Amino acid sequence: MKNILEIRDLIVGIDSIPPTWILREANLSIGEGQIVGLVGESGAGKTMVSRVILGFTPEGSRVFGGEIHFCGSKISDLNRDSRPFLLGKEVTYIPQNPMTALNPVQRINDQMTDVLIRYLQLKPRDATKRAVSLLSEVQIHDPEKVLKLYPHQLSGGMRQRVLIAIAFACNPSLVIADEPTTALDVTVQKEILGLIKRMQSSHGTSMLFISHDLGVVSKICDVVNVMYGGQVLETQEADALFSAPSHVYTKALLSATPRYDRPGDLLEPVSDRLVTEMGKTILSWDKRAEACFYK
Amino acid sequence: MFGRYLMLRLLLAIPTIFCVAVIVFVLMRIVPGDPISMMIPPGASPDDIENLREIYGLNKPVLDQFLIWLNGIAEGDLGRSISLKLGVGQLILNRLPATLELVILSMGIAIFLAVTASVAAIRYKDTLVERVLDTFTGVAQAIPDFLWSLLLLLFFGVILPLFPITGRLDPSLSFDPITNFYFFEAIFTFRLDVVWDLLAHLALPSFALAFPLAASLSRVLRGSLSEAMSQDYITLAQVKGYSRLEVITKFALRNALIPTITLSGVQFAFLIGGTVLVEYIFSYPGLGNLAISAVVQRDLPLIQGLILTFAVMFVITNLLIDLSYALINPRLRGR
Repeated sequence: MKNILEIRDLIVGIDSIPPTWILREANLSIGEGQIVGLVGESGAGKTMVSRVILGFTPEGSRVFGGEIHFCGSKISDLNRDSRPFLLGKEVTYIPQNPMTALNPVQRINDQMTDVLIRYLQLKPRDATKRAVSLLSEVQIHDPEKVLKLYPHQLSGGMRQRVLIAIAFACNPSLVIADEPTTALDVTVQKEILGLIKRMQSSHGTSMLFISHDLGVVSKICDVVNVMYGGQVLETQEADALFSAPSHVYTKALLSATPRYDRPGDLLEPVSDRLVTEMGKTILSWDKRAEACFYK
Repeated sequence: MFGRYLMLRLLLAIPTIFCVAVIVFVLMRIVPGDPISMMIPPGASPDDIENLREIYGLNKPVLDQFLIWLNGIAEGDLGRSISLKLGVGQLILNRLPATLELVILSMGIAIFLAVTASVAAIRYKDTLVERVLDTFTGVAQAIPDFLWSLLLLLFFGVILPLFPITGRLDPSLSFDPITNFYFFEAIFTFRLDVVWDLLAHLALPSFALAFPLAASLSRVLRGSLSEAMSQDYITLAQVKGYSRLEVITKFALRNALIPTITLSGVQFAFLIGGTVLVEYIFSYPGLGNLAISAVVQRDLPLIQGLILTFAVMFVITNLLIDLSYALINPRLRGR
């Protein structure tokens, strides 16, 4: 299988002395048509991976080592303008919080058709037609009416549907979904997950699905990457990861997550010993890296 | 719905204007200075003075005077100017268009400068451009409009005589307008030479009024622009592939305009105040100039009429601003 995106041993840090390391030799690949999950606790570097791909890294950050490949072409820096793809057309984004992600002073129609007009050169009228069909694809009833509304007139779930429709509008090759269900309540969450999965398979898109929720990831992803401290600790097919995790941290995470299929199991918090252990590993990596880049 | 809102707002404006009328009326009779003593020839007898007082109704108790004045206003009569011997209403109507042209042009220039400067400052954040704009904004705000008048007059009227420095229109141009809205009339009758001359006369006073106004507007606009730039919908716009300039002008600007518009309503009051001195400096025949001569002459009816006019202008502007909120912010519509 061809890979849409490959990240090899990527080291990214904020250029200070000593540097603040954000990604420590992270590896990740996204195969064509796959949904690749990226899980980890806050601060693990999940969002940074998505920002590196999109070209929105914090000020002063720099690539210290490693490679990023998109469809075979190498991306050597973090500069947005040097991306070998059209942002918003070939690579799109589903944000975390649908309540604040739409422009409050623009009608839904204008927020959906702008990319269609910009990238597919559609006439406004044809773009609106396409927006109508996109909205029915994300199961919004009466799409013509919704197009005339402003974001504040829609519920959170409706807004997330609109954002998903925008993300898939130009048939992108990669969609990055950054915790797309975290801000929604559980019943809506399930519908939205199903919807994302359907959209992804009907558009044949590859997807990077970022979440801190193992349960959510297990439902939707083909491959799961577990991140900690800027490193990808384990990459496994979703089924294998949940039945036979290989890394101690993954095991610890799984035994800390409630499971519907095994309701009697006791939950176990991630032990302090393990956290200290992993902290030590990271610290020794940092020492090696500093020795490497600054001497 | 909308019509009812408008009616309500207009009705609510009446008490505001009434309060202004009371304050002005009482104040004008408390401050020292007497219009009669300004107009009598030397050596007039006390009887003559008493006669004059009676003619202008100034011998009656203050409350009676006020009621007579209010009654006049209700009938559309603002009284007669003591110094100019003409109807106050007519005097004001003759001068109002000139001031409106000046105020509208200044406001337009100020808004244009403020928007350009703040968009540029946000676009070129943390660069030399931002620092230069910071300096300019500071200077523009620190220098008051009458001082700007003198500076512009000196540099672009005297040292480099690019613009005329007095009046509204070159008298050698034969232009016989029906209304006093010279500018609009000149445009509609295709008198481009007149339009050009009017603009040349307006240039210095309107820039003098616009500079400090633009500076304070751009401070607020920049603040709200940079706040808007950190919102989630801006991230989405960037990820849609819009350039930084597009993100600012198409997404952030409209969201940031609301606080700026509120401020521009407040600033409008200062702008009207500013016209008084600036018109005087440039001998511009507007309300401000009329106000100064009215004050100097202690022309009570004229001063009252002028301040009432300013109050009405202020109320109308703020009404327009409130209406424009709904235009900009869809969340306020239908309430």
